[in-house]
This record gives sequence, C-alpha cells and structure tokens, in this order.
Amino acid sequence: MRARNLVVVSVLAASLASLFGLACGAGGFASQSKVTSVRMFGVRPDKPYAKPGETVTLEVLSADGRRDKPRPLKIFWIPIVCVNPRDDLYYLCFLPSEAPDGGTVEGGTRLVAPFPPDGGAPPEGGVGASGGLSSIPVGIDLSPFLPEGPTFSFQMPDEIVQPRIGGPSYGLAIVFNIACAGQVRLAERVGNAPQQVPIQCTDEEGVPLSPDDYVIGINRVYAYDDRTNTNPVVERVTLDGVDVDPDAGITVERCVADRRANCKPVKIDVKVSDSSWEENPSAGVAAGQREQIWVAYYSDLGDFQDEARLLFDSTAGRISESDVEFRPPYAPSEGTIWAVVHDNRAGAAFVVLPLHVK
Amino acid sequence: MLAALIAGEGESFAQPGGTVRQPEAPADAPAPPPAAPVITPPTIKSDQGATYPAQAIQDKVKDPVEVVLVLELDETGAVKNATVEAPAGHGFDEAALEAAEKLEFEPAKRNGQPIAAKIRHKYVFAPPAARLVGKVTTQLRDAPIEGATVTVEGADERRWTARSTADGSWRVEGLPAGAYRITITSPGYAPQTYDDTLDPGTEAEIDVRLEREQAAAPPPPPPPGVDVGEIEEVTVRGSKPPREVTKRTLEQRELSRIPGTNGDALRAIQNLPGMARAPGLAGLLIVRGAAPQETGTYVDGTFVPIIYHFGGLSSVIPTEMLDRIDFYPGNFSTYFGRHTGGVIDVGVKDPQVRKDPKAHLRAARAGIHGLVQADLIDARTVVQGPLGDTGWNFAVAGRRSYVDVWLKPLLTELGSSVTTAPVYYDYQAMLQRDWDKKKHSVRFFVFGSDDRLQVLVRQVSGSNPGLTGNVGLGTAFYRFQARYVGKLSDDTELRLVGAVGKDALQFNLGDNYFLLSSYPVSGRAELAHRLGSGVRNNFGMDILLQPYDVDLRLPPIPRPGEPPAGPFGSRPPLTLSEEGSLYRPALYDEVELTPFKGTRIVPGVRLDYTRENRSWDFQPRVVARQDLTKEFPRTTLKGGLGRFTNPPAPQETNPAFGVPGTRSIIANHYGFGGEQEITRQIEVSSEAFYRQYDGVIVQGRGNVGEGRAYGIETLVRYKPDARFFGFVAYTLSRSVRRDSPDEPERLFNFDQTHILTAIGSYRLGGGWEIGARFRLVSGNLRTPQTYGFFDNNVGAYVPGMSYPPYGTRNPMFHQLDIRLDKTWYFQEGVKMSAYLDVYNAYNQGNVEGVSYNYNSTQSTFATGVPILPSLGMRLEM
Repeated sequence: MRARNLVVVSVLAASLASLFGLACGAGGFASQSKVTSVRMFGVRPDKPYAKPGETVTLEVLSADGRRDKPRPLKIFWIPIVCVNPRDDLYYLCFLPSEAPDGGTVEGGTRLVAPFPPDGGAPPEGGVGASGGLSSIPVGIDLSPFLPEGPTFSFQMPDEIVQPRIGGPSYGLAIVFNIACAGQVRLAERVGNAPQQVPIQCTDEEGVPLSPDDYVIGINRVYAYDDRTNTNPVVERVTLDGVDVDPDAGITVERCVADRRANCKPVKIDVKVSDSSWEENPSAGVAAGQREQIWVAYYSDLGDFQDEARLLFDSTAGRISESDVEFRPPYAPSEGTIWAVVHDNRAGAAFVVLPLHVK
Repeated sequence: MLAALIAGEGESFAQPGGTVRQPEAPADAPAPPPAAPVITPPTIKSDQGATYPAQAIQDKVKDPVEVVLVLELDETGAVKNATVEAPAGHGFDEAALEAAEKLEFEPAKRNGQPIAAKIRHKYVFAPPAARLVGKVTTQLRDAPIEGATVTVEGADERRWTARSTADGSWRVEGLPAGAYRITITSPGYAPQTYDDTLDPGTEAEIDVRLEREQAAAPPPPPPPGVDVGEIEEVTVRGSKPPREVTKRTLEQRELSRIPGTNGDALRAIQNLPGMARAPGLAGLLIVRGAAPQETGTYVDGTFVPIIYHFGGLSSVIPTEMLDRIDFYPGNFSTYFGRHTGGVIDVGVKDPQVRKDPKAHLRAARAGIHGLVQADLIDARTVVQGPLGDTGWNFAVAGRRSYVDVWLKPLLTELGSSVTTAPVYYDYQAMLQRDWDKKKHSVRFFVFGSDDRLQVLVRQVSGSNPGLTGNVGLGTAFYRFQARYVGKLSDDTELRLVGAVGKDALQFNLGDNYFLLSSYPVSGRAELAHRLGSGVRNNFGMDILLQPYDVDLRLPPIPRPGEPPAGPFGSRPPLTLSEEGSLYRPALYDEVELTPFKGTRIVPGVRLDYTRENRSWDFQPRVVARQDLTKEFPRTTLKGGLGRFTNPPAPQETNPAFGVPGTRSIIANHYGFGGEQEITRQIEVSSEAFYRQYDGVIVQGRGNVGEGRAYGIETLVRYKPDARFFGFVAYTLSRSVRRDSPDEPERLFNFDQTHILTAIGSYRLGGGWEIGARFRLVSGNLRTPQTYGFFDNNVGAYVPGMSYPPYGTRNPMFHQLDIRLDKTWYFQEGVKMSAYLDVYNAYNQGNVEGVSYNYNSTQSTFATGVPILPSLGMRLEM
C-alpha cells in the first residue's frame, strides 16, 4: 500500500514539477543555518532610519564556526562611508575615482569620513585628496589601521537626503566591514567585473584565505527627513511552546535515532511584539500595508528544518505557525543558536542562546 | 526496268497507320499499244506507322507536319533506300525514315512479274493529345474528396469534365495542346480555378486542396485572390497565399499529434525552425534570437497579451477551434506592426455545421456537435452548430484547469509549506453568418483567459528572504471581437476587424505589488483591390487605443549587465500610481505584383505613430519570390528586406523606471532562401536571415543598445499522407547585444546556436498512431556566480556575478518524447480517442540551470522535467 502511494506521489510530483517548470537536482547543500565557518549573521543599527546629522552605531553579529582556528577571527570596518551611489548600487563605491577631488565617483557617489574633521558637516569633496580606497597601494596589511570590533559609528551627513524619482526623498550611507581570520589587504581589480571586492582576507604572506575564513559585509543605513523606524523587539523565545530563559539557553536531548530524519525535533519560536509590526509609509496606494518581519536561524550544532521563518506578513499580519523544527545532534555537546529578526526596513534584533545537548 | 521505274513514280501517300493511295489513271491517256506491258504499282503489306518525335514535343510543335519520302523498292517489295524529299526538322525526318525501314510492300509487277520500283510515300504527323490528372483533397485534413467535378474548358469553348474517385483522383485525356481553364467544384467547398497551358503529349498534374465554404472568405491576415503556387511562403502546407517571405503553417493533424505537447496546437509551433527552445516548460516565444516581448501574438488580427496559460501548459484558445496558426519568423507583411521579432497569428474557425440526418439526437440531426477532452491538467469542451433556422451558426467552448484539486493534497502529503496551486480557465463564444452566397460574412467572437495563483509562503529562503509572505500572480484578458469580410465586387474585398476588451496583470509579493489594468480598443480596416492583371493593392489602417491605470511598488530593476544590488527587497521600492493611455495608429499599403508567371514581388510601406513620444516610424518593406521551375519538382528562390519598429512600453518612458523620450527599437530584417520539392511528399526549404538592431532600449538608459541576430534555418518536411507525416527542422543562429556603445558585445540571453527538431508520426492502422519527437538544442546561457558579499541588513549572501553576463552555456539539451494515440469510432459519428504522451521518454537529466549553495561556493546542475507520462481522453459527437 505504501509502495503504491509512493508511485502515486512520484507521478504526481513529476506532474507538479512539470507544471511549475521546477528543476531537479538542486538540493544536497548544507543549509545556511549550519555554522561551520566564519560567519556574519546581520547588523543592528541603533537607528534603522536615521536623520541627517545623527550619529548611527552599527552592531554586527558574527561567529567563528571553524573546527580549526589557526588565526583568530576579528571584525574590521572600512572607515569610509559611501554616500548615495547611483541607483543605490553598492559596488559603485569600489570604482576607482577619476574625479579631481578624489572623492566623487560615478553618478555622484561620495566617499566620506565617518565623522567630519571639524565636528561639523563632512567635506563636500569626500575623504580628501587621498581618493579613498583607490589611492591605497595593493598588498599592504591594513589591519592595524582599521577600526576593529563588533560596533562602528558614523555621522550621517547633513546633506545626504536627495529627491528620488518614483519614491520619497532619502539618503543612503553604506559601510563595509569584514570578518576576517587573517590580515586585510586591498585586492587588485581584475578585468571589468563591477562587483569585484576591493579588499581581501589573507594570511601573513598575503595569500588569500578561503571563504571559510572571512566574510565581507555590506551595511546600509537609510536617512529620511520625516520617517523613522525602530528595531523589532523580541518578547520571548519558546521551546516546544515553553518560554526559554535567554541566559540559561536551550537544553535538548541528543538524537538517538538511526536515521537523521527520524530524530525527534523540538520546536523553537521567536516571539516578536505586535508593536514591532510598524506601518510602512512607502506602501503607496495599497493602504494598510505594514512591515514584513522574519527571523533567520543559525546553529553550530544540529539542524534547523528551515533557514528562516516568516513572523509578520505585510498584509496578513502575524503568522500563526512561525516556529521552526530543530533536530539535535547525535553527540552531547555545547553550542550556540543565533536568531536574527529582520524587518524589511533595515531593522534587526539579535537572539543568542546557549545550546546544551544532553 | 526503266519503264517499271517510271511507272512506279506515280504518287503514293503513306500515313501513319499505313495506307497507300493508288494513283489514278489519267482520263485522257492514249490507249496502250497492244504489246505494251501491264505494270502494277507496289501495294503496302505492312506499315507500323511513325512515332511522334520526342524532340517535336520538346520543341512544342503544335501543328500537323508532313514528311514525304522517296522509297526505292526491290523486286521483293523491300525498301532498299529511302530519302526525305523536303526536310521538316524537329525529329520528324528521322522518325519517318525509321518508320520506312519497317515498311513492307507487295512488289510492283510488270506483266505479272515482280520488278523494282521507286515511289513517294508521305507521313503526316499530328501532335499527340495532352492529359490532365490530379487529386482533390480537403485543405485541413488532406482527406480525399469523392465526386468533385473537374471542368476543363479550352479556348475554343470545348469542354471536358471528370469526377474525382474515392481516393480523390481524377483524369482528363485527349486534350489538344493549348490553353485551358480548370475549375474544381464540390458541394460544401469553395471552388478553385486555375489557368494552364498544355503542350502536346504532356501530362500536367494539379492537386487541389479545397477549403470549406465557411472559410472561403478569408480571415483578415491572409490576402485573398492570389493563385496558389505564387506565394512568398515557406508553407509547410500549401495554403492561402501570404504576403510574407516566410510563413510557416502546420496542418491540423500535425498540430494535434506532435509528441510532448499534449495535443496542444499552439505548443506545437515551438518546434518550427527559427523558434528557440524555451527554458523548462515556459511558454516563451523566442524567435530568431529576439526577446520574447518582440514577438506579437494575435487572434485573427487582434493583439492578445498571452497565448499560453501558466508555464506554457496549454494555450488560451482550444485546438479544436483553431483554423490555422501562421507563424512569421521575420519579414512579415505591413499588415503587422509594432514588433521587431516575429508574429504568430491564430485563425479561429467559423462554427462548423455537421448534420447527421440518421442520428437519434435531435441536436445532432440539426447539425450541432461537440467534444469533451480531459487529461491530468485540465478539461475542455466545445459545442457548435447552427442556431436554429436563423442562418446564424454558433460555437461555445471553455476550459478549466483542475491542478488545484489534486495538487493541494499532494503538497500537504509532501510537507510543503506551499499548499495551493495555480488555476486557469479560458472561454470562447462565437456567432457567425454569411449572406449573399457567402460573399459577405459577419462574425462576433468573445474570448478570454484568466490565470491566478495566490499563496501564503511561510517558509523563508535564507538566501532571499524577501521572497516570502503573500505571493499572488494573475493574468487575465478578454476581447469582444467583431469581423466583417465582404466582396464588394469581383475585384474588391473589404475586411474589418474591431475589438474591445481588458487586460489585467496582477502581481504581489509581500508588500511589493504591480497592478495593471488596460482597456484596449483596436480596429483594422483593409481594402484589397485588384488593379489589373497581376496587380493587387492592399491598403489598411491599424489603430490601437489603450487606456490604462497602473499601481506598483517594486524594487528598482537592475540594468542589463548590472548585478543585482542585493537580495529582493533590499533597496527602497519605487512606487507609481498612474493613469494614461496609449494611442498608436498606423497606415499601411502593400502591392502584390505578379508580372510574370512564377514571379511575385510585394513592396509595401507602413507608417506607425506613437503618441507617448510623438514619433513616426516609417517602415518600407519588400519581399520577392521567383519560381525557377513551373512544374514539379518546384524550385523557388525568395528573399526580403524591411524595417520593423517596436515602440517603447509605457514603463520604458516613465521617469521612475525608464527614460522619458525613449524612441522605438528599430530592427532591419534581411532574408534570402529557397525551396525545393524533392518528391511529391518531400520538400526542403532553407533561409538565411540577418536582423540588425538599432536603438535597443536598455533599462534605465534609453535607446543606447544595439545588436544583431543571424543564422540559417532549414526544414525538410514529409507532408502528411495516409500514413505518415514528419519534419526535420534545424536552425543555426547567433544573437548578440551591446548594452551601450562603450561596452563589449555579448551573447544575448536567449541565444541558442543549434536547434534541431525531428518529428514523425505513423498511423499503424486500427485507429492506432504512434509518434516521436527528438530535440537536440544548445544549452541556454547563464551567468556564473562566485563567493561575494553578505548583506547584513537582509541576512543573505550576495553572489559575485561574472561579467559580461551570460558568458557560460549549459550542456547540450536532448530529449525524446513519444506519443501513442488510439481512436475508436462508434455509430452516428461518435468518436472517442485516448492518448499517452510521454515527455522525456528516456529520462534525460537536461541541465536547465545551476543551483548554488547559500554563499555560492558550491554548485550543482539543476535538471529539467524528468520522464512524465500524460494520459488524455477525448470524446467527439
């Protein structure tokens, strides 16, 4: 009976695949939730929507999931703020500047220092005659000169807000950072690849390290004259419906099943306050639209059924079944679960829970 | 001896068939002296006659010819020597001499004793008669028509008639050389007339496909009144003459029996030369390296936004209502405009009346009939017939998918977070009638389509979190179309087509949405007039007025060649709420010239106006065709060139999404090719094409792009006969674009170098038919990804994209599809059929793309649809 059901399901699945033009063979990769390398999970700005002139502090959540750690992981920040690249294209911040002032690149992009030297408005031309990243020689270890740590602050330029076609006026500041278990150096541009990263993570000899050893991050902060946004507020975390003490973390039984799929899962849910579901003024004519909020899960032990779950839909509101299944590992061990709550207006909240596998 | 010779010189005449005329004795001849000998002239014992010389047939000698021989006979009566008295040429002399060698005479005698003699002998050569043979079949199915009357009328008003036999064949013999008019008539079919000149001793063959009288008044696109065989077409079927160099038409049997299409006619056209393979089962129309939006789709001359339901699963007009599907891959008539790629024009049948006086059902006796068809995906029905005795005929049809019925439990069983499925339906209703011996026809046709999908996706992709939440997609349109076709005189025809309707496109994803409603009003008027022998003019108007309102909130669209700025929704969306209208009138004129038999030249010009940018597009075009041989096997050269423009879409001139002032894209088409009949069933056609683009609209930059597409298409076709049909189509092509003058030329997204399709279907007998389709196509292009950035705001990696884009090609695609049909016939015209269509019969894992892990450090090929059997049933009554 089961075999017949399987045949029926297989035929119907094949039909389904044909209906949607689905491709086969796409699976088999480790989930994004599984942390086995140097990772960044998200950034939490203290002001997701800042006003011109305000100081913004970015906090990044990162982890080092490598089994072997020949060099320690450090978070470095590029101390240049890229302002209003054309069409918000972050990679225009990398293009070498041909402008005489050394600070203006294609489409009026400005590269400015995190804080103006005199405590006032940033210089009109940008970071100065040095020309930003393009003026630094390739191959030099920049690590000693870069701000280091999980946080970085900068002042939103006073004149950052610009009129935009097809939407309200706003400004965009982009800050780059890198989680690197090595040294940070400038990379030589190759060919005409617009997205090529101008920085790299290397060993002491200047040899680029593998993607397991570094992550380059892009962090955007939007500036509006009249709009604000707050970060989502995590009210509680539940394990199989029971509230979890954030400090004590989660304790689960190890998996004893012969097959991974038969491991008994637990259900973890992150509860966000209703007030976090803010109105979205840019929703236009579709009245009543609000933010979309979701949570992404990460762990260095065990497996999550889904990489992320929707918490609030922009129109349907709170999602009733937002929990995620977690299957513990086979061996007793200590680990960490990270959960990052995002809204679709650059807001974020972090949850870090110790994981105890008995 | 001398006396005998002199006596023997009396005239004697010989004719083919052997007669000798005895010389008469002169009345006033003096009495012979008593001792004078008695001389008896020779008489013919055997004369097999002379054969009409082949050279004379070749030289087309049409008058009787006489050849006089001087024969020397010995005492036995044998011909010792023969000479031509006055040479006639064209092989007559040789034929007469050859015949003389076989002559046998009773020798001349003197006083009873045989003697030698010398005589004159004349052969008269009359030109042999010609004959006409042929076959009469139906145009759609190629089925023989029995009892059709063939009338052959000579210049002297003499007439011969013949009737076609059960297999449709007919024959008229004994026709003197000369000019004739041949008319073929059969009840219920439109008569056809041909003029032909017969040479002596030749056999001319005329195969005729008669069209049903309802369809005799042609629908708007094809021009009327042009003799078959003089057309600018690569017809896969000899059909109505198009004005284009390249027109491809599939017959009904081919349309409904091509494996891998579930019997859907419109999906069948994706197998024709020049049509690239769309990725997966997507219903994209990629014609000669053009973008899908460059190709226009029409229903009897009225533009429609889509012709396929979701994913190309089935077409929006049921196959049973289709009269024809004309596919113009390029160099199309000035009748069509606002497209730089190709054109697909779907002709819908007038309602069919099929009376069965012996049927039990009253409706069937009255001529109403219908069918029901169902398979795994959808079910459809068609009913048509006369509307009482009003003279009006009707047809109604509808289709609905029921994937949602069985897919929901399946998805639940599979544990999917998506537990809904798309729903689509379409509908058609038609009223039609003729007047004045079908010189005038009026038709009202309502048709439409609706596709919807609405789902709440709770699962969030870590690599693209924005693609979640409420997801909705809907496309819908309807048209109310009115058409009049009338013969105002023997030389003038008027065709009017008007349509009003609505197009709706709805898309929402989370808090992003796109809502577009438009209300197209389109009108066409064409006056076709025969100006003189071999000259016909077609003048027409083609107007489109399309009010619209649009509301949208979407992230900015990356420019071509530019990598995305991050995951979906990582940038502030653009919003737009706008009302407006498109107004695009056009005038065109086209002259069909037939200066000589076998020569056809069609110059034309089209003038399009686009109100959005207040620009005029002047488009001269010309196509020509030359038959190198007049009879079988036909050899034809053809070619064409012209200018084609495609006005900008509304968003392309909008300040938020495009560039105000953007002009039309220009494409210059060039084509040259030939056609060759190999046998009566097999024909080969080949055409080289070159399409050059100027002012290609690049997202957010305006008319800064350029490009070209070129290649060669070849089609070898076995025309449907009682058992078999099939064709092999091969296209070798290249399509490139340059996104701005200072950027490198790159392969266009839809470039496919090799496209080979082989199709065959064979009737096994007993109602069984088996068919197969094999395709071998270059893989689609893709842009490889590399390890890139992490977008901390969204929580997803942004891959690095190689530049220029689409620089890597997937492995070659190859696939075999098999189809098996079985038909049962019952009493009173009831017919039931079932089919098994096996898609990807040997389960080839064709690569449709590449899947990457979350940070693009690992990848694997994503393969297409595995083996997929599909079973369908159909009932006709």
